[in-house]
Amino acid sequence: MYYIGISAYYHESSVFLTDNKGTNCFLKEESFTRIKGDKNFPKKCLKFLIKNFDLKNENIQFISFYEKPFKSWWEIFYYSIKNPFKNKDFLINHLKIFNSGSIFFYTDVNKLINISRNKFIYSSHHLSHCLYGLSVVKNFSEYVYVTCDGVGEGETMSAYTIDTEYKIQKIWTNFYPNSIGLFYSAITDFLGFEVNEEEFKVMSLSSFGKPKYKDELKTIFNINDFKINMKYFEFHKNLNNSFSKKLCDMLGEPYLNINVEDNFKKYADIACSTQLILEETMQNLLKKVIKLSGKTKVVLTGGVALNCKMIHNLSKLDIFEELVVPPSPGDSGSAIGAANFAYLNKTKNQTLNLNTIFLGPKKKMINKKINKDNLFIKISSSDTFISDATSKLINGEIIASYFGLTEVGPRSLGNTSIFCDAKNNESVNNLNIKIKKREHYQPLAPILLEEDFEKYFSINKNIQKNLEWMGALCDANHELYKEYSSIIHIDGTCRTQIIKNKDTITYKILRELKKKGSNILVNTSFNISKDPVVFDLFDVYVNMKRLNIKFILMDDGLYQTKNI
Amino acid sequence: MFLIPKSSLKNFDPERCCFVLNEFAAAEFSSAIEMLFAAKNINNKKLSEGFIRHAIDEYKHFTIFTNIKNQIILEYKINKKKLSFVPNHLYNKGYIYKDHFIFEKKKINNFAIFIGANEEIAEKKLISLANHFKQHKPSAFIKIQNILKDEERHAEYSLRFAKNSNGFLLYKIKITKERTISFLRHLYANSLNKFSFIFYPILITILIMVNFVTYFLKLKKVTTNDDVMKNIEPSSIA
Ligand SMILES: [Fe+2]
Ligand SMILES: [Fe+2]
Ligand SMILES: [Fe+2]
Repeated sequence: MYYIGISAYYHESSVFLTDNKGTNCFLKEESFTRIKGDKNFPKKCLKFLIKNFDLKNENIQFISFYEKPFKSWWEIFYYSIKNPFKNKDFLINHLKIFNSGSIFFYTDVNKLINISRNKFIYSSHHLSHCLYGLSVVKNFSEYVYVTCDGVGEGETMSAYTIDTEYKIQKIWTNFYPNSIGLFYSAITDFLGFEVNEEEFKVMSLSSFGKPKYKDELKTIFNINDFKINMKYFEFHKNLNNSFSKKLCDMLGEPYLNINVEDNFKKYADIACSTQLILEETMQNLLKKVIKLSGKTKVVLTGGVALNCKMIHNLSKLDIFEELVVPPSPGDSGSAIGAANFAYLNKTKNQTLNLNTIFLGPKKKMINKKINKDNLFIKISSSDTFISDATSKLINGEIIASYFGLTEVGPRSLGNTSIFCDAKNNESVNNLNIKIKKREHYQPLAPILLEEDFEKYFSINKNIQKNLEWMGALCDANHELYKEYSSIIHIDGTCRTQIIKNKDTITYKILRELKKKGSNILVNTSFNISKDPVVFDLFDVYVNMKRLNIKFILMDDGLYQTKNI
Repeated sequence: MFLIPKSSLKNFDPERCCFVLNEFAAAEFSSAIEMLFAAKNINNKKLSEGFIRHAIDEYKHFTIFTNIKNQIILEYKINKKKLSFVPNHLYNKGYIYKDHFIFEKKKINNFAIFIGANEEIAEKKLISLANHFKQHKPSAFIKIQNILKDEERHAEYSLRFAKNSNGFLLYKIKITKERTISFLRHLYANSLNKFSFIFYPILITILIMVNFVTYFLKLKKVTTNDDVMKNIEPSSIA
């Protein structure tokens, strides 16, 4: 029997199917529609699952939605309706959303597949985050589960514990609009970046600045009692700006062009101050929930947990024994949490334990009907392709990868990536600026074998687990500066990924590369900014042409694009 | 391009230009996606390859429009935020349908006519856009001329295919119909905002009523200590 979790309508839509016997399939709607962050009902994901798993009413145990649709809609509405005239634009838009929103989840599913009503269940927003976190750790009762995001069902921060008898307790909650996530997003907006999309740019930018505005910002977000001063924000009433004129009086003009030097400096200072407020808030939050729960190990979820610089800085404060941020802590990962909710509902005393980070479909399943030879030419087969590919990498070539299972979460972890030799400054620059067209202040991420990690990097033991999925930053050692300086961020950190599994192609590539004189590759996601990561072979072909990448590693060899 | 933005530009206004360029970029991006989807779903190798090439062209056009826009933004120090391209907005702006791709709703013969008719409209609008830039930004004029060549090719290729597969008479009927429909579709999409005022009073009335109800409604927010799974009603949406 399958358990299906769905997260949709507000953030990037996703679906997770599992039988908890080894069959897992995590999909995002954006993969099919090619619209990055697509938040519509995941119709195409479901169609894919129906086809590939022969889904019908009889083999589905539950379809579980990641939150309570009405509650989620109402809580935001309830806050803004107190001032119906001041907030009318926002409210009218919110009314319109009602019509196309998650309230109609049941109808939307039934347009595709007839499932009886009693198989539909609805989790709760933060509980889904928590239950996703639970699926990635062993000894789950030793952890306190903290969620911190923009807002979900009117909640902005919450903490749960679970005992060995599977009794889940919510030990603390903070409510809308008091949200550190929305605070950070509003500043993201102020700096001219896209809300819910480009918060990571604020994080990268923060390393270039000084916390000059921290005292001012502390007056608008209280880091001790987690209260926000709404005079400075308009996310509850304005559809275009999430901050008010008062914030502009404090910080100056918004949306300036960051490529102008003076603007860059100023905006970096604002980003740095904002990052500091976030870190101090989270420090206080963690202290609070550790005290309340009596547990010293933490699982952190919610969009805020994607801020790996914060994780890095928190790790140095010695406030927890361990901090785990699962690979997809945002709302799209909550589809997994929703499936876990269904599983716990059915079994009462069991939860999903997913011991892999690659929960997406196999590339072979995705491309069942596609003839690879129509688009690609094999240039070396399975016995020589590792050696050939590494020789090309050493010679400065940029190579894409497309093999194995698909990653879960926003980061490509080797199976759907673009690689280049981190030692080769020219290739690194080429990849970052010319091919990926990233901003100069965004660093690239290194990937290496676990055994080489300590030679080049250091990290506090308490966040080490996150290295497998790029969930934390680590510090560059002296040795790294000697030969691989191009991958080090200005603040001396790197978002490193380590590879443990010896059976993977990525492992074999890294091992062979080592023999040829380089220990580290640059690993970046296989997409163009504004585009989702490639999904099927058509996307691979089109993106290789657009990016001007010649070679690609697949499960059974090294390939080149054909000219069609 | 399957939904072509309005390009009414009179005097050279850099900000307004950027806005129009951003809309054109969005239109190109959308048709790239539509073509890529068609390439994946057609059971004919030659046609699939044609759609792939078309998709790559449209993505290229998207990049060209975006680059021209970024150049003007930098040159005239324009406030950038409102001019950024957000893929998710394509749905609300009407460039992409929320629940289907056009290819899913049309047979290949009609799809070819649809592309042909719309590429023709795109050509006309692009000519007027290019002319606008001729004086003020000659480099942009040249780039748009290149896009025009591609669009001409797209229109010609699709219409030739449509003529061959439909037969001359049927083709004539269908293309006339498609031109009319596309004209009306553009008219509707471009004036969507103008119609929305009709619903405004209704929505305002709903707001006032809800406000009245919520005034008496005190929702209690409590921090509980109970068993969460027992507290939650799985089948409830609230
Ligand atoms: Fe969330
Ligand atoms: Fe085009
Ligand atoms: Fe075209």
